[in-house]
Amino acid sequence: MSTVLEAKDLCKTYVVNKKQNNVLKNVNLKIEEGEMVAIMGPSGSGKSTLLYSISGMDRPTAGQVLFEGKQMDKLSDNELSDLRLTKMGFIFQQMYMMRNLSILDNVILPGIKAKQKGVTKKEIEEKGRGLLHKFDVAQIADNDTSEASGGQLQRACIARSMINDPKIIFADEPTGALNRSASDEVMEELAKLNREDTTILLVTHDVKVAAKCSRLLFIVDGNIKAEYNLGRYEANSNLRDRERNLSNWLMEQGW
Amino acid sequence: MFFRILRKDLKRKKTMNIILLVFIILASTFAISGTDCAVSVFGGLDYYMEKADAPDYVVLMRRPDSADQMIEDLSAMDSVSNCKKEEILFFSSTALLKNNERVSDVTNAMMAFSINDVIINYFDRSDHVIKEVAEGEVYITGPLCTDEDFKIGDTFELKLANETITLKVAGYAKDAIFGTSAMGNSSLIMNDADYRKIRDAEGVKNYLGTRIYLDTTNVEAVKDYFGQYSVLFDGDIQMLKTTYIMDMIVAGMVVLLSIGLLLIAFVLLGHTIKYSVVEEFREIGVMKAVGLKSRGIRGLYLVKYLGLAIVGTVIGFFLSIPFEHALLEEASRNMVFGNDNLILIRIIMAIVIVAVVLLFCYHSTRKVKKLSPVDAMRNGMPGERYHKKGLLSLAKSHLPFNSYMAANDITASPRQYSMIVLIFAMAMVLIMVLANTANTLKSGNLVPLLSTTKSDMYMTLTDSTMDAMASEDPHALIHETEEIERILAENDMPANVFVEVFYKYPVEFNGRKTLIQFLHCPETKTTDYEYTKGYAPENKYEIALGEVLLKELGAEIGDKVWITINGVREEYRITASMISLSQLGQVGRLHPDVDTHSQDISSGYPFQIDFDEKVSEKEMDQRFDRIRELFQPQELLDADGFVESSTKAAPMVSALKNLLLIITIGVIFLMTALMERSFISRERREIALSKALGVRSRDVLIHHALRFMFMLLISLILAIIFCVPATHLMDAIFAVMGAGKGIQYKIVPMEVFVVYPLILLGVTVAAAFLTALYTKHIQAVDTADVE
Repeated sequence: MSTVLEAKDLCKTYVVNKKQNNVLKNVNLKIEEGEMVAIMGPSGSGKSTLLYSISGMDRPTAGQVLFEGKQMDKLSDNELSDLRLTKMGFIFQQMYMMRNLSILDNVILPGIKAKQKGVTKKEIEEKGRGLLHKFDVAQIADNDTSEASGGQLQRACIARSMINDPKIIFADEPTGALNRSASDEVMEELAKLNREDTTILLVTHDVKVAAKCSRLLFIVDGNIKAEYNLGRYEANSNLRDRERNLSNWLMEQGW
Repeated sequence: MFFRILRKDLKRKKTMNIILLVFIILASTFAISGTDCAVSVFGGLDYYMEKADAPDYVVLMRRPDSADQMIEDLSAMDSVSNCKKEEILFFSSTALLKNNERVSDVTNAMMAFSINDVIINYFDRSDHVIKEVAEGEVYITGPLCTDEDFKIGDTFELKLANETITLKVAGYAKDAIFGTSAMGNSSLIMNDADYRKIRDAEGVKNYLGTRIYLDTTNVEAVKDYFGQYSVLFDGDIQMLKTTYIMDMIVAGMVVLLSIGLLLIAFVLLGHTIKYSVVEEFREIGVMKAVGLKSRGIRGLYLVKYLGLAIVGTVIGFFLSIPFEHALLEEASRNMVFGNDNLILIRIIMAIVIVAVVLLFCYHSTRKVKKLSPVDAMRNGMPGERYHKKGLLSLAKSHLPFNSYMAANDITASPRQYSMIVLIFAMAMVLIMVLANTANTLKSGNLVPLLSTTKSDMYMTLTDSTMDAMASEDPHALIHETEEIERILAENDMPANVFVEVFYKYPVEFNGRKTLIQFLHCPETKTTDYEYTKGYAPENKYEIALGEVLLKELGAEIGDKVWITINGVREEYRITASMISLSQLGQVGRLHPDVDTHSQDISSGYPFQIDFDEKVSEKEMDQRFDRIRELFQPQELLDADGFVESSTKAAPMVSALKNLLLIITIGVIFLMTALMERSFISRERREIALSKALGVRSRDVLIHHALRFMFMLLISLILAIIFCVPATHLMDAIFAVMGAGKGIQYKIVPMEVFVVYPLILLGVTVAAAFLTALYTKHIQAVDTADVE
């Protein structure tokens, strides 16, 4: 296994009303290819900031982020955009989509934008439809974004994150706005992707979500306090055991 | 609590609130100045005539000897009161010199008189009545005011016979009767001592003329009285008012422009209020969730908009004053606009604006009732109802990515964007129509409608015409044309030279007497001219009459009228009707065989020159120079220039078009910038999302600029489609000028379809692009906190 993403002494400081707020304090982490890592921690501990800083959506104040060995903080805004477009996938809590586009068009948008020579729009459309089919939302492909449930939209967002075959998917509380059953469905899809060797890094508050990940990073006050290795979640894994073990461990950490 | 929410809202939604405030300022500026313009213009002419103390009837005549008898006769009439005469000096622009050289090219006859003798009021540019003129100074009126050599403070000499006096221009004055663009007579309002000095000089007697002013309750009787005399000009107040037609047309266009701007501002305002309320679904939902009632929430918005409306309207109130002056400047050069109740009207309009803003707000906040706490909980998605997907498909589209995104946005919200498209299209059509009208008013296409023929050159020699009018030789002008032909032939420019002249003759029909201006040219054929009905006069006892005159007389083709020419009263048959832009269509044509007398000339067209051989463009330019040297004419023009000079309207329409272009550029720039800024505000989430997905900032910028470019292109297509039919709406203006039919508009495709659209396109794209630069501040990471 090779390292996809690495953070070295990562710091992120916000200055609000002349007051300095050190959100991330010398964070070090490594994400290996094929891993599904969850970041957990109390509110305000810096989980989302860490996700945005290592995904190239935000620039760290200090430290380094290496993606496939390449130092990301040295890249220009345009290079970062290209990296996000071609090698990364994103899933947000709020199922963000472009309001004026159909669900299918939302899914294929990054594909069309990153279109390589020799690839036709038709092929990208077919791939988009295939992904929607894979995540069981093919029936809403041509719908308006307002004509779908939250769970369906989030699955479409997963499909969108996969359109350019990314090296890694970043997910910021992907089930945060969903009910339990929709949440389970979405996590099953992500776990399935992971079993197909897609690397996933997600932020969550939910033990049930984290239990489907292979590793958990527990962050407190801008620092990774501890990590817990659960092993890959296979189709036949005992989820209840994983949840129980994880809960116990979290309680030990003061969760 | 209520005001705390309000204060927070004003602070947090600063950008949208500022945009709203700017739209309110725009709306109130346009509404207040537009209403002022409308009130001033529609009651303007009566107001001006009243202020000027204009009489019911005016007569201008060259020979003052018979004036006393006329005054006596008229005063004896029961219907006539207040009959007064005023002595004037009558001369051409050749009498104005600087260092013994001619300085003015004004073509129409000029007058000079003493400020002590004036019967009507003359106004300075600040609309104050001129009561005195210092010795050695002079106020000038009419076309002379636009002459470069007669700026305020300049000095010049007035030379009549052997007497010369030096005068300094004290200011420009407005002459309610003879200074209009249609009358076109310049006057010198002089100090009494200066005037006496020159009028008493030897030989100046020949320049004397008289103006008679009278009030009457029976205009027809006065008309009948003057029907027996050959005077230079006579007309009643209604006829005088028609000479303001161009000023009124320009003023009317200004009012239309103001109404257009007002509509634009209101539409934008309504749209912005509606969408800003819709965008606040989350706040509204939260307020409802914590227990606020719909009425309370609406009250919150109403208080907010009341505050914005009051601040915006007060600013707009003061901005409207200079804006109104700019709008009316072109129309008010010849007129005194005003209304005694303007302040009151302004205040009422300001209150109306505040009320309209609140009405818009009340109407737009109806949606508050529909919004529920669920909308806030679900973040408006799904279940958000204020949008729909575009008609296009990203996969199937052949457009490049940014163009697709821009086009898709437009098709997704057709109502919202069609409003902008419509405003762009309206502005463009208006500019196109004015450009076409201005170009037509200086196009040779209109020569037939001026009741003359197309010639190589049109040469104005005011002195020759005025000398002929004073000459005892009945054919003085024919001799003049022969002399010009001789000089041209001597200078290797053989040509046929002729001149169309207006003769004023008394005409009787069905017991009614009236003075009619007839065009007559012994050297052309009646078939050279265009008629609307009937056939060209074939002998000296046949005439053509303008359609306007036929209607006024109640006569038809085939009827016979009595005309007194050279003291001989004879019967003439009307064989044709005609339309003419000359004399507001009140004109007839005599057969060339009619024996006219130079002394009956009331005015004339320029001498027309048709060269015997075909002349190249280069040679023509050289001939223009040589003829200018040979004859030193007031004007030497080609057919286009002749039309421009005759209609006199082209500069005003052009000026109005330029004003409209400047205002349109300003409004479109502002509108685009404000709309784009409000779009960015609303689309913050989408912008952050697309950046998070890997779309570059530059692409977002292009996408936003392209959206406005596409809207402008759609507007352009609409404007091109409606350009010709809309231009024909101007037929009404030509109809008032005497010829509403058969106008061949001159459309300059380069100017109308390329230059103006490119200017507007440039302005729109620049405004959209510059405003869209703000999207650079929205980062991918903002997806985390856009809510």
